[in-house]
Amino acid sequence: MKNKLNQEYKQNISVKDANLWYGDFQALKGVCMEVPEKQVTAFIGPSGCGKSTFLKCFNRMNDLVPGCRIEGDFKIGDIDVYGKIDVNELRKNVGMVFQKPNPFPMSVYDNIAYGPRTFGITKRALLDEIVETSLKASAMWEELKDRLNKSALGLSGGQQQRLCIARALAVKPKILLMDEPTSALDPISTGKIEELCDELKKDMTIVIVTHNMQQATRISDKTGFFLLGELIEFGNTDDIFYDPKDERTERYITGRFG
Amino acid sequence: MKKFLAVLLASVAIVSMAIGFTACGGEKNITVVVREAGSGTREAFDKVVTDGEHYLEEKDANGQKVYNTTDKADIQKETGNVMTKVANDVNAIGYVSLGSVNDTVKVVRVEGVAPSATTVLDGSYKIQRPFVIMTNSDVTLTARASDFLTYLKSEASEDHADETGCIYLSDPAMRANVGETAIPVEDFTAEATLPEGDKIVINGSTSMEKFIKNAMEGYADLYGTTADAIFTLDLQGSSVGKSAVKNDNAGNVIGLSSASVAEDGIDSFNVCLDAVAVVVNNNNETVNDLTLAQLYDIFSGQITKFGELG
Amino acid sequence: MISSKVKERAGCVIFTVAAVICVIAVIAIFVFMLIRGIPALGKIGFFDFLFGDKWSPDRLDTFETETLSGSYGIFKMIVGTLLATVGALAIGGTLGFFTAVFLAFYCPKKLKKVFSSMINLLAGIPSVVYGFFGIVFLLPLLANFAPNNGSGLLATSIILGIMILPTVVSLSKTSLEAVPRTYYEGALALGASHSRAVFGTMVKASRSGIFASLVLGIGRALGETMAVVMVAGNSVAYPDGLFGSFRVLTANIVMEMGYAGEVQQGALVATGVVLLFFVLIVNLIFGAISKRAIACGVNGKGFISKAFNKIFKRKEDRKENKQPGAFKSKLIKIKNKIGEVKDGVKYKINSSKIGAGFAIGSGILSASALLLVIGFIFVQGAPYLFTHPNLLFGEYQFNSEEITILPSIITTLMTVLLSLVIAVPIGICTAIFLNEYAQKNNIFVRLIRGAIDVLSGVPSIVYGLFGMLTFVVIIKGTSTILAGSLTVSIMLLPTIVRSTEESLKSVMDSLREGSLALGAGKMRTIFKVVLPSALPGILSAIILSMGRVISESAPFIYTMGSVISAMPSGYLDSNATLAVALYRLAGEGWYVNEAYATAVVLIVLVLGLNLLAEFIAGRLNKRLKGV
Repeated sequence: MKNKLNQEYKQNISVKDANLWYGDFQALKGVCMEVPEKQVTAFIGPSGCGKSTFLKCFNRMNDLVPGCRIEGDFKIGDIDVYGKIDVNELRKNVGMVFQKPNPFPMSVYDNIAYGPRTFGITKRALLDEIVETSLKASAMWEELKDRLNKSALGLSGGQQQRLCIARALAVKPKILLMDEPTSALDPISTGKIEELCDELKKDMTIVIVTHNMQQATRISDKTGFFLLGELIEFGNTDDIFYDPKDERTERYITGRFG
Repeated sequence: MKKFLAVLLASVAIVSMAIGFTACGGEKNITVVVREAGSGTREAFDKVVTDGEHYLEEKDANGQKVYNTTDKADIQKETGNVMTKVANDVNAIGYVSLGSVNDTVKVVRVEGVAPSATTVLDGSYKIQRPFVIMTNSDVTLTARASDFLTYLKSEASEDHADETGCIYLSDPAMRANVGETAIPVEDFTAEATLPEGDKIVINGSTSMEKFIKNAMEGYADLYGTTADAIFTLDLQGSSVGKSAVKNDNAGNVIGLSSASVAEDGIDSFNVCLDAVAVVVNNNNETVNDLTLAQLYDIFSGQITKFGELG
Repeated sequence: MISSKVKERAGCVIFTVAAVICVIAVIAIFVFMLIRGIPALGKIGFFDFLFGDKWSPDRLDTFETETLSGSYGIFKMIVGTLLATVGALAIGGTLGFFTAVFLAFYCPKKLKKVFSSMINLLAGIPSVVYGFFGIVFLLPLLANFAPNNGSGLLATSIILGIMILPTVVSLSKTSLEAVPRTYYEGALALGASHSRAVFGTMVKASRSGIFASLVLGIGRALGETMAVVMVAGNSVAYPDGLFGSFRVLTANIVMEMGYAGEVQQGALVATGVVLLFFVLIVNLIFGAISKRAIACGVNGKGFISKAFNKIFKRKEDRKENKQPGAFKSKLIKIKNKIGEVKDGVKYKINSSKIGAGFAIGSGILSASALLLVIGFIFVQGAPYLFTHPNLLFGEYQFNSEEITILPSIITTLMTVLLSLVIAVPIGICTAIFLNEYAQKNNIFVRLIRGAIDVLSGVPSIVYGLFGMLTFVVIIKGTSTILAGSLTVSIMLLPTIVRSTEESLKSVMDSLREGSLALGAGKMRTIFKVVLPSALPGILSAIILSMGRVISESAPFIYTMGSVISAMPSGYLDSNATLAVALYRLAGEGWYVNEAYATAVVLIVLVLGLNLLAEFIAGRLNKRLKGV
């Protein structure tokens, strides 16, 4: 047990031949991908193409879906994600931000302290420090420093989403997964989160699922295009958008289908 | 908001007006209110009321139990429910323990005899039953329980019976079941201190509630304490009381039954008699005196209107 | 970290154990009832018992007697029970459903709160009060139209209907309100009217909850004892029209248990077994129906919506079903064809309008029923309470003409306390197991759900019988507060499990995901995120349970004692709870004023609890929402 805990999570993800079924429905078909460390990788594709499903494999959130079966190699560094590991430890290292902001019904402070407390940090001073750094890292400290004890549900949508990012940052993840984090937000909040991504990739690997192709071009270094459960094309963002190899990619990014 | 209140008030008003209506038109059917099968009150009533040929409760040629009470009867569990029904329904007739009668209902004479201590003791008032005290015959009673039993067997019971509308039995022969050894009235003098023993558990017939409560307080007074320090009282019916007595291991259970008890393992004596009074609504002016045959006709449903009594 | 693993395991074990306890409770009830009922069944004969239409028990029949002199057939009572339940459902179910719709979608906001707490209050009114209300209010009213004093099937259906109202209303309302607001808005955006959006979308979406409420309503109607005893007439006969005297199964048990002979007692326990099987059958049927409803819902052909369409389009159906004579059929066909297009459009709009009318009408009707019952009791009882403070604070004496109910109040509180201490943890843990741990189609899980469904339908008098056969015998041999509390805590389990599960369900999955994604374990997620969010719902379940303990009488009479007695000195004493005291006072006839005053005390108690709960829930919600 102990030695496994001490296993260092690296920041690059490597996936080989991933297949995933929901019951009889195959949602992922033979996906292979190398996600480089400390870069932003974007997944694009029409709804239902499997990009969110794929993302959720990285922190094993698909475990919660009954009837979900996964095959293939998922590795973070040299750790096998679906091997005999502590899932909670995995999720601590691979943070996630969801499509809809999901702050807990508690104060701003408690929201951010939730993760650290989960991992046994109880000293007030230390927690204070974590809350402050996390909020600063998500560029919210100035907005929220006087409202730490107010309920998080009173914040605006954009603030809530950034709070969720701060909450994810509080456990110091190596990798941050973002599942359409801005789809429910206005352009200004979206802009703020995009800036944040730029800032955060200095320290961590970011994988983002997005419907917004401009967003992908703005923030990502690598882009993968998914269609019907297959990874059609994966490469540098510029290549994907300006010189797509596959006809289907081209048709999608030029808006001719999907 | 106002609209709602207005509608609410209106509907309440309509309903209450409807209640204000008294029944009009032809004479209503008699509401026959009786107790449930197994109740001592009902048994006392059903086994006496007859048209000369049948009784309300009897056995047929095959030895099968037959109840001739009408299907239309309204059956009530508690004495009080019978009284409430009768008190609220001008066409109702029912029967309750004499001790329970109050001024909300009118007592009817049976065969020209009104129920009273005299008429019950001399047997001219027919519908009566004993109140029985039961103990386990195979177990030694605690000092306290046997002291209280002696108290109940003494003349002290007479006051309690009088105060609660029961008819005290002083005749040793009548205190025992027919054909059994007579049970004399015992002398009771209070000990210096309350005799030892667990709390006495009293369980049994609800009809005897008034009597036994009165006796409990009277007994406790003698020892200068309160009844709740000596007794636990729980009345759920004669047969529950009987099984509590049968299951008594500690010798501290005293059972009450409102029908005579002749069973192995149980010592019993009849402490007093109770008349079952036939009652009608206070506004019922036509019915004052009924014969047993008329009672049979009414309770078996052969007569459905008081007007048919003739 | 290791300790957290252990915690996870331990939690899972505890939740599972709690769920298993529910199953054991059901099995125990069946086993004990069967053990006591089967010998009597054997003696009487299974067929004669179930289908015999003669019930004339002989107190002196024992198992040793060669041939029984009494007859023990319950068929007439089975018929009576079914008719009364159908009547209650027709009145209370319809009224309750439409009232719930009214409360959720038509009621002015200001009134809504008052309405809702009044309905909770209605659930707290002891059944014996309803029965008494029936005798002194409803029967005289019905007597104006009836050939008799008004008692019988109609009176029973009305009283039972009012009694199942709060169950149906509050549960239906909860599930209606749980439907996301976006559905409603979506329907409006498609051009639907308010009523059409309500009946076409919201009602459809919450059908499983509405069904659950109806099941509970049926359970309550099937199992109701005290109120029915007071207005049904109780003759062992087929109900002769709306006003014929008849007897239901529960009434049979409670009426004859106290004075029953040996075989008769066995037959009464067997009556309880029959009731149990009734509940089982009802559950199975409804399980099948609601499963179908859900299955159909997926295909967009909701079973309920079909039912509703049927109700609303009854007129049309009737037109079609009339099968007019050969001459006229052509004519009508032509007529119909002309009207078809018009009718199709017009009728759809009208149906929802009719629904709206029903909803508002039902709201008003329920409200007046509530006001009537509560107002009636207050007018009768409150003045007496003020002129006779001794009723509340006097010293108890066995032979005193003056009654005091202080010991009963204390007994009630003791019972509430103990039964909640037992039932709440088990209930909540079971709900957590079902909602957070269980896989949906596991046999074990289905068993637990089935067990809870059965428990919720078990009539309270059967719980009373069970307690009498088990707890009473084991603990002391005579009735004790402990035995009564244990009995009633089993009875509370289904309420707590179901309501807790509902409120757990209403906690969005995104919160759970958020917590898990942060690396929190399941236990931490449940206790820190899910439970706090579900707390207001759980609290109201607990309050409802309190109300149930306070207002029940049937389970206590044979387990805890039925005599208003001196102050209890512990859980091993016997005493009457307030509701039982009320039943006794009302039953004794010469304490009517005291009875009403006691009823007022009961209602004030329940009202106080409700206000307190609302206050606490309000504060919690505020805290949660950070307003």
